[in-house]
Amino acid sequence: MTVLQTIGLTKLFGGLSAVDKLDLTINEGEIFGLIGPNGSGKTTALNLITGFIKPTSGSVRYLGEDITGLQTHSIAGRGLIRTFQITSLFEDLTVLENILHAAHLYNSTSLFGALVSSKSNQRKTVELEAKAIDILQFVGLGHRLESKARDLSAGSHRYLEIGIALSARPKVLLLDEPATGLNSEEASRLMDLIRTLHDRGTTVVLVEHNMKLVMNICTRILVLKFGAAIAEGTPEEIVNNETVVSAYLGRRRGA
Amino acid sequence: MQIGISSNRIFGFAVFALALAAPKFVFTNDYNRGLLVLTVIYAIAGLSLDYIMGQMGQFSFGHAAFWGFGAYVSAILALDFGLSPWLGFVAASVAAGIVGLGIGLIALRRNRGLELAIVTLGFGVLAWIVALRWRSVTGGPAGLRKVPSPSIFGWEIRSEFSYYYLALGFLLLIVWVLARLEHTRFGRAVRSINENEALASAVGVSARKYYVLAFGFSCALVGFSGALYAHHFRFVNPNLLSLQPMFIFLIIVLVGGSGTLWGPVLGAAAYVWISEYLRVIEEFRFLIFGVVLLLIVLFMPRGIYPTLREGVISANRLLFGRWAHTSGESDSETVGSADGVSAG
Amino acid sequence: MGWQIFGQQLWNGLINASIYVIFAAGLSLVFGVMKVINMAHGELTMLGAMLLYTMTEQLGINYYWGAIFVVAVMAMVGLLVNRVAVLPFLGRSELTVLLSTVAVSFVMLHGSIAVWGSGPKGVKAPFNSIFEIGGIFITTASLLLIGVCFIAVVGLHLVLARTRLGRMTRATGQNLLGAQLIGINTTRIYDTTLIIASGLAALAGVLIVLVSVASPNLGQPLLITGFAVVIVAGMGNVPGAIAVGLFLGTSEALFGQYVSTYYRQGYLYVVMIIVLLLRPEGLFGRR
Repeated sequence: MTVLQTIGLTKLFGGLSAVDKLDLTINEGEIFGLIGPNGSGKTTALNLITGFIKPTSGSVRYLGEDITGLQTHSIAGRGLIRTFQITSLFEDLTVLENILHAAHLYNSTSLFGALVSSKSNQRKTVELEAKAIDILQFVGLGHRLESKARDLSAGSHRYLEIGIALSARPKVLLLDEPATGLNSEEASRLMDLIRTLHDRGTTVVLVEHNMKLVMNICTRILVLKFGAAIAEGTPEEIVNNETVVSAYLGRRRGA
Repeated sequence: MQIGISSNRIFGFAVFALALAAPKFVFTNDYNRGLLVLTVIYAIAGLSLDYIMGQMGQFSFGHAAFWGFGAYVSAILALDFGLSPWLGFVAASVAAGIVGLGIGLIALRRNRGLELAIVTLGFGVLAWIVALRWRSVTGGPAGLRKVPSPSIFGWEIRSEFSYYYLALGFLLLIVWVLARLEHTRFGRAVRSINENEALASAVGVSARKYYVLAFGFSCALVGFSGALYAHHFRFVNPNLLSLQPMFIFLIIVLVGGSGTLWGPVLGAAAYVWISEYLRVIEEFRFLIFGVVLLLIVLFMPRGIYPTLREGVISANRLLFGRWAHTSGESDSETVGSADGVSAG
Repeated sequence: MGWQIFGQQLWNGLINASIYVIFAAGLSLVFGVMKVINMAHGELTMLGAMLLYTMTEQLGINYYWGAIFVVAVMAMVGLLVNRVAVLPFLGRSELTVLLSTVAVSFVMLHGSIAVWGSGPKGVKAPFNSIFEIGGIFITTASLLLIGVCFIAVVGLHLVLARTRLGRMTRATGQNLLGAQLIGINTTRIYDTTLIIASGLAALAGVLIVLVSVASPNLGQPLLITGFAVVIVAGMGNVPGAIAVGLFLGTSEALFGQYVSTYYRQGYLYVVMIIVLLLRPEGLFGRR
């Protein structure tokens, strides 16, 4: 079933189309790759879908509902969660606090209960922390709970980012170039992470440059150039597609 | 950005003990006790302003106007409608809070700090003009006098001594609420917006909603402080809405330390008592404050308390090694910390 | 009779408007180029007026020479403020810069009170004749004021629109990084911006004394008025600030005459709040 769809999505900056009549269909449970050379509009598309930029025309449908023009936090509230290209964390907070702050949507504590520390609030707080620790262990940061976010290494930054996104319980998770700055070991750990998420039922959309990662885990890929789709298919199909190859001009095919 | 429990608690207890003992043993004359009351009232106002500056990273020029507004509301309700000052406290907070919500809705649309600063400035001036001109209600330039004191079972809380404990009680309650607030969903949401607004909205936090609520809350708090002032010093006049208290609150927050709980309290004490000593050189009092303010902004932008606290941490570490570890400090032993790709 | 009152108020409004215009233009310029709200802008005007007072009344210097000297000195003061209180904090939060300029304004305000006392000081205008056109009384001093403001505005526009400095300034304001990349020395642009803005502020100060009194307290209300103009026009839009300043200054006088003298002071802020409600980016603002 289709979870995310864009219809004729277009964004013009001045006279330039950053995204050009993009039609995109993502089905439940896919690991969907969005690739293309620099400037092809991948991140812009992501921003349009998640409400960080308003489209010039076209629409976005999520779980059958038209979400075009909704505010970012509303879209996130519906389970469409994104990460950012430039690492985005709550720098001054600790790793654990990052997750606790990000768990806003599913934090069911009441204000009054929290102030007077009622029994139910205490219970919910314990649950909240337990879930947070679960997430952090999942992304491999279980041993760094008290470290300040800004003190983490590049790889750990990314894992924390994903942890933050997971706290918001995504039905569809949009990752914006998560492999940037990761070494091959970290990238391969990232792959495992994404695979596990996929196995647990999360639909993942991956905007990426790292071809090895994309070809290895994506179930379907869409290639963008100058804001428009030029090819779509499975990794094998894409790898053998002439248009795609020439679009990248000299990039090695596949891995 | 509170440091872990230990140093805060120690400091808290010390201050608490001192505060309880002060009027009885240290400041035995009424004039000084009056200053103590003023300190507490200013501390509450400072804490509310710091909620906007430290927690939200915004600035409100109209904060004194809300303070004065609270004072006027409570005074008018008591004088013209015979309302009990206790209810007046509540009414002032609620009224200030509602107006704050309104202003927040107007000014916090794109969450840019500068818009809020300017709109609140305009509101402040308008409030001042209204207080000055609407004689029938506000008493015009002379203001209102003989504002009644609160009483319990017929006994008036009028003396400096007793009002001090009343105000102190409220202050402690407020400090406790603010401390707890940081661990609530609401407090975290506000904090997350200040830390990284894009990320906060990406995890479902509505920046506008929480900032408007936080601003309204802060205005309610300062309105309460104003009402406390009115029912003790027993007069209100347009000066309370002017930029003069605004600068005082600003000094209190900056000198004491923004982003901490005890900072504004310290700052209030520092302001009131240093002001007293400088009274001798009345002429240059404000000039000196201005210079002090400038120096602090230039060299100690985080205020005295955080700077002091850092000094305490280093001393702690030196003496006790990692035993004195408090949460929130950075670990220097992070493996491969932030090399190559730096954060953002 | 009615027309005379109208005309008189219109003229008075025009006088105020001229001051608002050059004051707000400088304020808007600094914001547009540096994204900084200079809270000390009002005090710069105030110091201009007070220094002129000292020069003319206490030192007996001729008004014109005094005025030129004061404007030049204050422009340099602006540079100093930039270097000490603004530039070091530009990287950090907007809040820090704001607080820094607040502190500067505080020092200037109370320093002035310490030096001159807080009472108003009169400055004798260089000439004192009044003449009458159709029942409206016009002083030559006010003519001078409006004339100088007009020249200043035209001059500012020419500098911004036609000169190389103007182009570089506008580029810096639009895109700091881009400007730096094409070799513009943005620090010097910031310096000149503040020099020009402070000069304009001081000019407002030396002109105010032609129609009103100098006092250390004149900076604060003027700053708030300046904000109202700048917000209504759209922050950073200098031509807009000029147009809005003109309109608001004259309409304020008419409001005071025909609607309510009592609440006249509130007129500008109510307009500001209404504009913010309906069109938050200002009448001429982008976005």
